[in-house]
Amino acid sequence: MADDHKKLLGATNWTALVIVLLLAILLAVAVWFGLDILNLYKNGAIAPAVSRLHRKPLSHITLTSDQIQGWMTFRYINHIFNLPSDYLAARLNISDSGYPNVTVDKYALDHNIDNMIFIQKVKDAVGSYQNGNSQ
Amino acid sequence: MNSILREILSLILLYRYVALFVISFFSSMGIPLPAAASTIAAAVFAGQGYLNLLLILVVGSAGNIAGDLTMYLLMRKYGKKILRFLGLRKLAESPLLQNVEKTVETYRAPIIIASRFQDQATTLVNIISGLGKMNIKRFALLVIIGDVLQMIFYVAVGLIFADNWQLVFSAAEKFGWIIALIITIAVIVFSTKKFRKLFKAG
Repeated sequence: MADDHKKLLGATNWTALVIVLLLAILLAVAVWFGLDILNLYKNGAIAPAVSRLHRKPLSHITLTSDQIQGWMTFRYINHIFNLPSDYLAARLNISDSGYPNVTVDKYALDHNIDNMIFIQKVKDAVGSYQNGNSQ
Repeated sequence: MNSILREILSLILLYRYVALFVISFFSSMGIPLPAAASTIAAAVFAGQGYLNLLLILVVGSAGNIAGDLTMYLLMRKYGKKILRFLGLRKLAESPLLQNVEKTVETYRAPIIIASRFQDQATTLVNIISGLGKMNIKRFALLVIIGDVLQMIFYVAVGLIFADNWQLVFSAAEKFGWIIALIITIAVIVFSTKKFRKLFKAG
């Protein structure tokens, strides 16, 4: 009886067993991740852009001026909000030679301007351009 | 958003494809840079018409492949010297490492391909493959397949979730370490089985 048990253990393909176990864990992680994403979707935190995939550009209209952040460059902001390239320079009195290829944070730092105040000024400038265009 | 990611996003906006290549390259070499997040963000920028999607796929894949192959070649050529330099002379000359050279050749393709999806696992597999002097053609082929698939996956995430990508990425980040652990265990288990066979044969 004990010998049979030992034979059975010896014949077990341990690598296959461990791989099956790891695959099961991987599957569980995938399901867990899927549920996590589903929860975010149900809460309205995320909205897949699949329905916008046929459009060009895909998500041009999804950013609002409130979402402007310090890591963004002026060139990017101009592009996203369809601003004329000299609009922000004129509105914010920017004379930096690097404009528009400079980040909002870097510009504020280089010119000793309070970061938060400057970001707010950029947001306001973009907001007023959008309001002016929508009227 | 953490400060490294903010800097990375700025670099991508400023230097575009060059930044993406450099980040992918050094991340594949084992330097802890948020390469996956960078690719997803670049795809979001492409979705907004700021970058070119095809160029992101090509440049990102090229960076990853170049980084993987560089790490592999460095470990292949200088791996044992590095181990000795680090004071691990015993490990460098141990039968265990010599056996790696014999066993790594039979690494399952799915392990190498799957490891491309997780930075830490990528580095581990690159190091072992280099130390084990795995056939370079086989390694390169699997790395190219894995890296292209990985790029397609992350670009798709960026395009599908667009401006929500940060939420999705932070959800995915939680599971990254679990996947790395699974791949590591798979590598060890597979190697151990082969080691056992070699020891028995010896």
